[in-house]
Amino acid sequence: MLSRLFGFCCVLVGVVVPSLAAAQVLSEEEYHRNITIHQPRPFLEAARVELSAGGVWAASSGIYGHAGVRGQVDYHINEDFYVGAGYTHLFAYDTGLRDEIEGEFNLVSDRSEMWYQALVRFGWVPIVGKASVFGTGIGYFDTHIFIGGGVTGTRLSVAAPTGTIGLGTRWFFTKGLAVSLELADSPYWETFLKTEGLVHNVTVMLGISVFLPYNVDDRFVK
Amino acid sequence: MKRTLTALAMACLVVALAAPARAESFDMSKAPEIKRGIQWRAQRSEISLQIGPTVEDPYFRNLFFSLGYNYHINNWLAFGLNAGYTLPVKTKLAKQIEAERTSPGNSFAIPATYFGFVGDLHMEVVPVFGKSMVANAGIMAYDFHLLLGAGFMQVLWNEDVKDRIKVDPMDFAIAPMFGGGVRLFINRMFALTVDCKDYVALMHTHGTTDYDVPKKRWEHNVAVLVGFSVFLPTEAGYDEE
Repeated sequence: MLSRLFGFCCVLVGVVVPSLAAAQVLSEEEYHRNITIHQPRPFLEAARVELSAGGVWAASSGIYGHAGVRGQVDYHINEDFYVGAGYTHLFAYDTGLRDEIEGEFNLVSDRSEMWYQALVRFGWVPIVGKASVFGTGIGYFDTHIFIGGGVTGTRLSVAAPTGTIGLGTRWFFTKGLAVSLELADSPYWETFLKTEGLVHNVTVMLGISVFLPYNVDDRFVK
Repeated sequence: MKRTLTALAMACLVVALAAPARAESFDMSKAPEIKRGIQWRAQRSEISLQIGPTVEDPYFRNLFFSLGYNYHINNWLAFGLNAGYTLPVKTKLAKQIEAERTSPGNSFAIPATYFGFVGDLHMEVVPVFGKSMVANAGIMAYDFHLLLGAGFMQVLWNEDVKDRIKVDPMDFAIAPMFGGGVRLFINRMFALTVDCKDYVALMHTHGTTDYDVPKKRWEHNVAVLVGFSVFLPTEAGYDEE
């Protein structure tokens, strides 16, 4: 009798235990929904130095147009933040607006040409992504924003105090080489012949960036 | 003793058979395709509201308010139209010229133009699209698009000089338009856009102090517009298997 009772209990345990276990197992739909895939970040920036060089065009110069060249060094503290410094040498040209003002309104322009900007900056890289070109090849990029300050040299001021704020994007060709595009406003305080005020200097830069060390190993970055 | 062993063996058999039965019920062929792309634009209508200024204007900036409609034939080609109105904003340079030219008893208003009604018919090509991780928090789909079309612009003279200027104070210009922009999808129904458009118009921009008007010139009118778009139908399709 005792043996039968024990046998019955064993069978009962055999039925109940899997049922309880099954209740803890996810349903098929939940199982599929919970599948996650971790992809390695293909281009890593942390603890790397970025050297950039490129051409600059000042989009908001008004009376004078400006074009120039820029050299930039950034150190990427981690995947999200960087600090850097850059120097831009500018060349001024007449836009025709000065002739218009002097010829048709009989006034003399007191705006001055810029010839350099030296700026330091702190940046944040909030966006990394990949892109498909017409649904074919895949490219990788990041988007960053930055803020900083420095000085601007003009015909009237040797070193006018300057701020800078902007955004940019880097499109990677290899793990150490990228094309860089930046849009920034670097306003400076200028003392003109009769007045003084803030002059906005909106610039667009297109350049090449080289990351050092050039090659880094793939690793998972959360 | 024999019965006890038999019962134990049966219990083990039940446990052993139950567990594989659960695992085998997970049919991976029924799992959703993770790599299957979303057709964010194909065969969808886009209704948009855009606002933004023209840049590089010496005397008046034009603040655009514009409504638009696009029909995306497929994921990379769309046709659409925009229509709106602009508000003029006098630049610091224009105010300085007016102040310099004004003498006691003789106020001077700058003889310059701005826009009224504006619109365009355009084609949109989306060569680059993808998705990006934003602030290590969420994934956002985006596209870069190119715009090509024809614009229509109402050119108006400064209200303060329209009785003195020696041409018709209102004119119309047909302007080739080209540009590009980026579209960020908040979800499958809503998107944010930033577009840069250049309307190249044959138009007057300013007169002289005597209110004479030089010949019309081809002028670039570059506008930077931020917008909000609604996509219909509200659900997007998927790439074909």
